Amino acid sequence: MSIVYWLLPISLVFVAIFTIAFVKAVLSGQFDDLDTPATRALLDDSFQNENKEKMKWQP
Amino acid sequence: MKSALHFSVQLQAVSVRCLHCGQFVIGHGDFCCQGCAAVYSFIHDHGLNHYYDLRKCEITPQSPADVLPNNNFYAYCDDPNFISAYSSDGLSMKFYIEGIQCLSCLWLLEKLPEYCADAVFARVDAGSSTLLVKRSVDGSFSAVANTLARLGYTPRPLSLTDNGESFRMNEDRKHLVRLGIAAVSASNIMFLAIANYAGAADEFHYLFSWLSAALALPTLTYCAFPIYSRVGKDLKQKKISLDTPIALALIMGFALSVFQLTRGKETYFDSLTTLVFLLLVSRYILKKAQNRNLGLTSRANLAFNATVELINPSALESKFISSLSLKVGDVFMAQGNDTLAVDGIIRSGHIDVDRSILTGESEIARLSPGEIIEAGFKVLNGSAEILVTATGASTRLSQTLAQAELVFNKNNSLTDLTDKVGVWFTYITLAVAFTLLGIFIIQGDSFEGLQRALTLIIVSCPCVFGMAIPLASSLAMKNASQNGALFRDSSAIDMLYKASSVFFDKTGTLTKGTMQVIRTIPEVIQPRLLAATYALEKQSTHPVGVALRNHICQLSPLLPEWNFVAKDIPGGGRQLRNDKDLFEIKPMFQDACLIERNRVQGHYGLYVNGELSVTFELEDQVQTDIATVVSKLSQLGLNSGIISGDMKEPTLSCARIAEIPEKNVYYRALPIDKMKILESNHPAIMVGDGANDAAALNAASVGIAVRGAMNVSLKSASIYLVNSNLKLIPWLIELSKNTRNTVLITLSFSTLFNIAAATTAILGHMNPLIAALLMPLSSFTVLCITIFRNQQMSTP
Repeated sequence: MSIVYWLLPISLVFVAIFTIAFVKAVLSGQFDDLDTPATRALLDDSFQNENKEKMKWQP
Repeated sequence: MKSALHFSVQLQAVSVRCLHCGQFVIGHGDFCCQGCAAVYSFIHDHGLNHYYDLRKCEITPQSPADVLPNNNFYAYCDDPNFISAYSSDGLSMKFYIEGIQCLSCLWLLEKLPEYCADAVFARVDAGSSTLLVKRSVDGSFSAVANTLARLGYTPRPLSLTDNGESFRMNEDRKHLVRLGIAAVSASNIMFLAIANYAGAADEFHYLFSWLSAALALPTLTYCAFPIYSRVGKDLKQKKISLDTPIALALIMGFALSVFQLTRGKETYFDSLTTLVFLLLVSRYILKKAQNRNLGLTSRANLAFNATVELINPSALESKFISSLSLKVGDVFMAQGNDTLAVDGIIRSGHIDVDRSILTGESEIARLSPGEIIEAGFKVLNGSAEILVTATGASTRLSQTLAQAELVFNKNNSLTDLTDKVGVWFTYITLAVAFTLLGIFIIQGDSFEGLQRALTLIIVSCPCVFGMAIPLASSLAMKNASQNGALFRDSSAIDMLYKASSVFFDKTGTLTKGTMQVIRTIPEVIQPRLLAATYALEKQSTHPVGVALRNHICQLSPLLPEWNFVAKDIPGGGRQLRNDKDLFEIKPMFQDACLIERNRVQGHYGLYVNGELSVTFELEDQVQTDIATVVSKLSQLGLNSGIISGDMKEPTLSCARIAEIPEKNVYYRALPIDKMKILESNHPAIMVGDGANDAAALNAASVGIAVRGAMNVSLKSASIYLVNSNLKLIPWLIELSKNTRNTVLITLSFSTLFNIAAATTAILGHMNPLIAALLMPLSSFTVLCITIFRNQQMSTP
């Protein structure tokens, strides 16, 4: 059962990584607008490429 | 977004669709109006034709304004005061765009930097119908707004504070972070708890319990913080809220668990974190459902931004500033097409104003020096110097609106009732819990007492009482907005089903509102009479007047201008006196109306000195399927009626087509009469034009606006029909009934559930973990019932 002492810290590290990743994603605004990106994906690629540079700008 | 695009259009035998907006063209040409032609050529000239390929919708609901704004119109966007109130960094500004429809708008708007040198970045948020624009360092916001206007959109800048958008977004993000952290700790603690319940050896039991405590700490402090702070605020005001028992349970449970932890016994971290997690989930769903509608309320409150010419006596030269920057004591120039944003007194000059937003009278008033103007007036003609007497929240319009809001908040009786019931429930629960604890302490088993009290408090938390109504009404509002009916607030949902009658305005509501001259007798009219007719109807906003004016413009575009002022004849019609003759345009009563299929025809005569000289025959089509709408309404138990300012005959013939009983038809009603009729038929629904029937819409228990600009309409009416589709009205009433039943079902369910669960807890047949799972379960059941019943609602 001493394996538990190995598994617990490892799992806690995983928990920490995923939690931090989630919090970062939320705070960077990934979940703010759930409608437009879905529609934007339907536009042809040329549009996407042209605007890629400009899209990087964040408010 | 998608469903707002679907239109049902009655196909006409011979029809040409406008190349830009897709509406049927009346008369000749490729475009329905000047505005569409201008927008089409703009799009064409900039090589943006792909817009028309992308477009899925047959018709763009917003055809551009007939008159494109002049270059100065958006100059207010460059006023430094305005920029500081509307832009966080001076470079980016958010616009609310009326009429973002589908992919094509997204494409066109996000391409903005390619054809507008002043913009370097544009991003659409379709959910809130907003466009974020970043200007180039030497660019101007007014140029951006002008370009948007030339594309046929109506750009409305969103202020930083007004709509609280950024604040809400921040709150949403924080809520989501709390939710995520609570999920992490609840799920991990649950696994550790499984091991413990399964009988982990002492050494591990001890380790797992401590680990659970460590994992629970962020949830019980950071994630549950909003609950504590709300309860704290309420306690300061000596109030008890629905959250009080939850906060109590969390604190009590935590203390009890720590005590147990030190003794190496069973802890409650699993129940407590699960409780917090599930609470956050149900609140997040509720919040998301409500946020969509919060946006709408702020849309209705969009300010009347305008550019005004400031001509303070102290200043040497005039300058153009935003109407927002006006201060009491300033003097500015009001000109045609402005909507005034301040109260004031006219110092010199004359202006013709449309006061319908405040008075509901569509009649145009000519104001002279010394007279008072108010925010919301629309200047049609002339120019005048105006001394500002009140701005912002102290204008009469703002005060009226604030009062209306107070009334609305009071109106929602069901919410009041559930709030009270919820608070009583809380008191009873707390009293029972403490009695239970007391009894067990006396018996000497204080641990059992604490556990039962904790279980009871958790399981009988009345959160559902606070949730059922907002959830049901926001889902119903969302459903309605997808079908083209926008609600200003949820009170209308609560009022619709109570109404006993529906009154329609005639012109523009039951009829299509576009009168056309189809014949004149004699066929060729003398230029003098044409000029007289034009002068008579020059300032008219009545559909008949507009039709006559348009007809004459088509016949001979170059007419001598007459400077004689026409005025309304008290019984209907208009008159004008030049040097020698008296000209009158009046409806001809003797043969006033003929019904021919779905058409209302009217005959109007031009009388010179009382002698009939020209007969104009006009027609206006009655909306199709009105009779079906009326019969559906009567199936639902509602009487239909017409209140019109029009003459007897056209109104009655319209009633016959619509199959509305004659006793419910009121004709030649002045705005004040309309209000009286509505009051005597209380509770009644009024369906009408957002601007011209403002007073009547406001007087009715529910006002439904079918035409007019959305933000103006939503000030007087509580519902705005995007597509003027009257068939939605019976459906909206069914929706309201359905919503009310949903609320009744969910409330009775949760009451029974709470009583049953509380009894079990008092008798000691439940442990806190089960309680923590059961309590949110009742919220989820309510959520499921509400969503299910809302989806069951058939589409109109």
